[in-house]
Amino acid sequence: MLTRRIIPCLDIKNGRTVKGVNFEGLRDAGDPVELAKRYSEEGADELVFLDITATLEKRKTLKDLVVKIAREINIPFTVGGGIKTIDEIEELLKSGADKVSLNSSIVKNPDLINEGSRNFGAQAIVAAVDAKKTGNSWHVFIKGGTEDTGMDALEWMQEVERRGAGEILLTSMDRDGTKAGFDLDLLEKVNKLVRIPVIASGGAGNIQHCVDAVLKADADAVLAASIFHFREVEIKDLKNEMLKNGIEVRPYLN
Amino acid sequence: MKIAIIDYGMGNIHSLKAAIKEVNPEIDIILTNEHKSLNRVDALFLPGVGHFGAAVEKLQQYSLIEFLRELVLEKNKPLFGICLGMQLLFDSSDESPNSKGLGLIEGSVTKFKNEPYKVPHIGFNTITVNSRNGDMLNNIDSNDFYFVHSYAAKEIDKLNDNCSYSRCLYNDEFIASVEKKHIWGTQFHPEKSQRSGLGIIKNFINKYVD
Repeated sequence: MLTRRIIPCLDIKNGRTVKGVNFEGLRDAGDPVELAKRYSEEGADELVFLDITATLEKRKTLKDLVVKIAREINIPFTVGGGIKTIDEIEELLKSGADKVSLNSSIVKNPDLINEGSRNFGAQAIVAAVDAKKTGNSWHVFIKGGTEDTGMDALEWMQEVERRGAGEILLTSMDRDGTKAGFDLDLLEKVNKLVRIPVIASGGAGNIQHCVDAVLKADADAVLAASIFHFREVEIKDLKNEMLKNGIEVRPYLN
Repeated sequence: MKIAIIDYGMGNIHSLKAAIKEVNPEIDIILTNEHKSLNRVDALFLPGVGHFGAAVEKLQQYSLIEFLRELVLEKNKPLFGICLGMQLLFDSSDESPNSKGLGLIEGSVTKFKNEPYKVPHIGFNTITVNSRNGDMLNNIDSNDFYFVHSYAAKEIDKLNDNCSYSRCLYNDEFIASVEKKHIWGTQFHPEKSQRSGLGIIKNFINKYVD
């Protein structure tokens, strides 16, 4: 039986792990490579690194970080943050990333999904979607959640699937950083519409929230940041609780 | 003690290299597609992610298809194919019907059906070991391995008596790993499967690299 995945997410700024509340007010959470090693040893199934640095040196530092991470951990990892071109995707995959997460760039240039999927396989292309409730629907936001595109998030996710994305990383901007639980309504709707895995992100505050995302909204994976960074939830405890609830997870070994 | 990771532009070679180093820091690892260098090592790894047709094209570009067949079949060079690298060991794939694989193991690769579970198959799944004759799965901590793929080799009945294998169920039953003497393949990523994965790499190295 395929197991549900637990994915700690590391937001990186200037080479350090940070975590914001509603995309603002960043707190420092440490050295990303050390944190990645810790998660890998504690039973995380995958890791996601999102670089939110906005400087010119970013590309080089991100590549260097990917090389270091690939050397230190042996679970799969995704890297994202401002990736715009096929060349950038190739550089990061060649440096050791397993997947790249694409967000604003695919809204502006959706063909990047097709091209990336054709060149590197669907499994390497993660479409990250930041969705925010606007009236009765959800809109797609870009540029770190600062710009409303006016696009319908559910329609957009069906389009990224058609174009060849291998997975969707769906962040609820209403819930991100709030620890109020995932947006189950959104998750459930998406999971009825698409046939590629959906990673639930935004709002994890405790173990029950993660259990609910799987049991009530059929999330294929749950992603969280601060509850893991600040040890509010241990991955081992989360996995044990999921098992108790009848959710298949990779057993914690060490 | 020298091994080569075949570098043909299609694989996550850094993670594999790191995993091999972790298993045995003394091993000399080269990343290459040059025939001369591939000839000189004790064993070969063929990694790979992406599209079957694109991979065959790249292998052809470096004249590696016939060369590898000869090296493995006539000179008995041990070869370990991972993910797409394992699929390339077979004759062909639906993903690119006009491209021929290495044909080292009989059978073809086909797409998963899309029900009841989502495709691609991504994440840790449990394998069932069918035969313990081989060495690949000796002393492995757990049977959970990391998979990420949309195509798989499913013709279990075509594997001959020389093959040990494990299988996995995801919409269809498929070959999760295969061991035909010195030709090894895993559909999952041992280099991404922590201790159990490292155990498999260790078994290969202990057997074939001195």
